Amino acid sequence: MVSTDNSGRKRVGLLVLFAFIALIILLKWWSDNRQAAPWTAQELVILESLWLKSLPPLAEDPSNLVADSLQAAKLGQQIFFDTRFSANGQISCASCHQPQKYFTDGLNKALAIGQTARHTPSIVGTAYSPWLYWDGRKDSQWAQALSPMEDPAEHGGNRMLYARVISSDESYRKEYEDIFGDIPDFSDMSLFPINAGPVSNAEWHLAWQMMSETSQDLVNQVFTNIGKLLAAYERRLMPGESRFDAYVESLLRGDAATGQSLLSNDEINGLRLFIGEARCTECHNGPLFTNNEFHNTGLLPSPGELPDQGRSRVVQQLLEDPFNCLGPYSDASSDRCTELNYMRTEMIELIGAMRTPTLRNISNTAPYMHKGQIDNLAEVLEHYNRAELALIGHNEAEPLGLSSTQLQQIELFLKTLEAPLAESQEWGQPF
Amino acid sequence: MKKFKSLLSQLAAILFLVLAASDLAAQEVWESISGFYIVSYSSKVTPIPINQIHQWVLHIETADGEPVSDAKLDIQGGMPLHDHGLPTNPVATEYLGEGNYLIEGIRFHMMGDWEITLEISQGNITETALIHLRI
Ligand code: HEC
Ligand code: HEC
Ligand SMILES: [Cu+2]
Repeated sequence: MVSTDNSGRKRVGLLVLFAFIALIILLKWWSDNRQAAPWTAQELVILESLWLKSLPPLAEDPSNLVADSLQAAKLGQQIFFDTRFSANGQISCASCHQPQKYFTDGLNKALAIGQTARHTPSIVGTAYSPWLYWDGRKDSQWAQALSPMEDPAEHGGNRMLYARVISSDESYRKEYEDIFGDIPDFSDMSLFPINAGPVSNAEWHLAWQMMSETSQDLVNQVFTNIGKLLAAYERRLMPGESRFDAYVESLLRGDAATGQSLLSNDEINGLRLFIGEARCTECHNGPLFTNNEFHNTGLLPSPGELPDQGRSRVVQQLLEDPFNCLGPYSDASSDRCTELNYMRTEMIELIGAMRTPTLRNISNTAPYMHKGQIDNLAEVLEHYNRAELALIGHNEAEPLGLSSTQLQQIELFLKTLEAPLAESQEWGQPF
Repeated sequence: MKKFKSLLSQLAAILFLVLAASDLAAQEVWESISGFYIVSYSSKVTPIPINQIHQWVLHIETADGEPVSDAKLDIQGGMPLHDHGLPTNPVATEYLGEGNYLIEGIRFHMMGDWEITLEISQGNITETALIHLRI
C-alpha cells in the first residue's frame, strides 16, 4: 500500500512538472508569436520617416556643374568600369565596388594593387551624405573619386596618366569636349611627362614638381572633371524599395491585413525593437537608415592594429584640401559650401568616430564596420548589446540588455531591407 | 438640409482658421537666466527636419520688449539625455533688424529632445538663454 501510494505521488509530481514545462514552452511560443500589437501614433511617425518614399529629392551639388547631366552620368559610368584608369591596367572602381555585391567587395579590407587600410563601403545613396569615407575626409563625391585613383594600394596611377587616357581616346575625348569644352593639348612631352602627380611614387612626384604651375593646373582641371563625371554617375545609384517599404506603405494606407502578410511577427517585433528599446534609430535614421554623422561605437581595432582615430584626425585636413568645396576646382560660390563652412571642429566627441553607414541591403554587404572587423549581423548585434568601453574616446552606444531571441528578431528585421538597386538595369552594370 | 450642411462646413472652416491662427500666435519664448533677455526662434524649414542643414531666425528683446540690435551670439547645444553636442557649428551671420539675427548652419541628427545654449553678449555683459525643443 505504502509503495503504491508513493508511486502515485511520484506520478502526480511528474505530471505537474510536465504541465509546468508545457506551460513555459507555450508561454514562450505565445510571447514570440502572438499577433504583433498595433503601432502607436508615435511609432508610425518614425516608421514613415524610415520609408524610402520619404526620401526628399536629391539636392543639387553646387560644387559640380555636371552633377545632374545624363550625358555626364553615362560617361562617368564608363569610366567607373574602365581598367585603363589604373597603373597596371587591371583595376577600376568596380574592382572593389562590385554592382552584384551592392557596390562592395565582400572582403575585410579591399585588395587591388595593394591592401587598403579600411573596409569597402557601398556607394549607394552616398550622394545624400555631406561627407564621404568612413571618417568623412572628403566633402563631395567628385573630390572623393580622385583619391583612389592615385592611391598606391588602389588604382595606383597618377593624374597625368588619367588626363591622357581621356585626351588620347577618340570616343572619350569627343564626349568630354561635348560636356566641358576643349581638352588641353598634352602632346608636348617636355611640358607634360608620361607620368606625373603629387603621389608617393618618387619619380612621378618629382616629374610633377618639375611642371609649371600652369601645366599642373591644366592637368588638375581634367583630373577634377573625371571626378565630376564619376560623381554624376554615382548620384544615380539609389536603393530600391524593400519589403520593409511595402509594409510601411500598407500601414500608412491603413491596410493592416496586407501589412501582416508582408512581414512575419518576428520581423515586426525586430522592427519594434529597432526603433525603440534597441535605440538603433538614434543614428541609423531617415529613409537611408543613416544620419551621415560621426559616432564612436566602441569597436575594437583589427588584431595587431592601433585604434583608428576616425573623424578627429581629418577635420584639419578637410579644411586644407585643394579639392574641397571652397577650393579652386569647385564650381560653388563659397556661401554654398554650408556643411564645410559650419563644420564641427571640437574634437572630443570625434575621437574614434566614424560615419554611420546605411543599413539598406545590409544583409548583402558582409563583413561589417570600418575595418571589416565583424563577420556577420548576429555578431554586430551582440556588439551593440554589450556596448563595451571604447579603447579611445567614448562609446556613444550603451548596453541594451536584450535577450538572444530579441537580437535574432532585429537581425530578421534587417533582412527585410534587401532590395535590388533602383533602376538597376540602367545603372547597376558596366556601360 | 443643404443650407445646414454648408453652414456646418463654414463653421468648420472658421474653427480651423481660428485654431491655425492661435497656433501661430503661441510661439514659445525663453527668458535668459537672470531674466534680462527674452528669446524666440523660427526655423526657415518647418517642421524642423533631421539630417538637413538649415537656417533659423533668432529674435532677441529685453524684458520690457525693446529689440536688441547689437548682441554677439555664441551658439552651442546638444542632447542632454544622450550627453552629446550639435553635429555642426552654427553661427549668427547677419543682423536682420528689429532684434532678429540670421543663424546659419544648424542641423539635428537625431529625433528627441534638444537644447540650444545661447550666449548673448552686449559690451562686456554676457547672459545665457536655454532653448528646449523636440525634433
Ligand atoms: C582597392 C579597392 C577600391 C577601389 C579600386 C576603389 N575604392 Fe572606393 N572605397 C574603397 C575603400 C576601402 C573605401 C573606404 C576607405 C576609407 O573610408 O578610408 C572606399 C570608399 C569609397 C566611397 C565612400 C563611400 C562612403 O560611404 O563614404 C566612395 C563614394 C567610393 N569609394 C567611390 C569609388 C570610386 C568612384 C572609385 C574609382 C575611382 C573607387 N571608389 C575605387 C575601396 C576602393
Ligand atoms: C551611436 C550611433 C549608433 C547607434 C545607436 C547604432 N549604430 Fe550601428 N553604426 C553606427 C556607426 C558609426 C557604424 C560604423 C562604425 C564603425 O565602423 O566604426 C555603425 C555600423 C553598423 C552596422 C555595420 C554597417 C556596415 O556596413 O558595416 C550595422 C549592421 C549596424 N550598425 C546596425 C545597428 C543596429 C541594429 C543598431 C541598434 C541595435 C545600431 N546599429 C545602433 C552608429 C550607430
Ligand atoms: Cu542623441
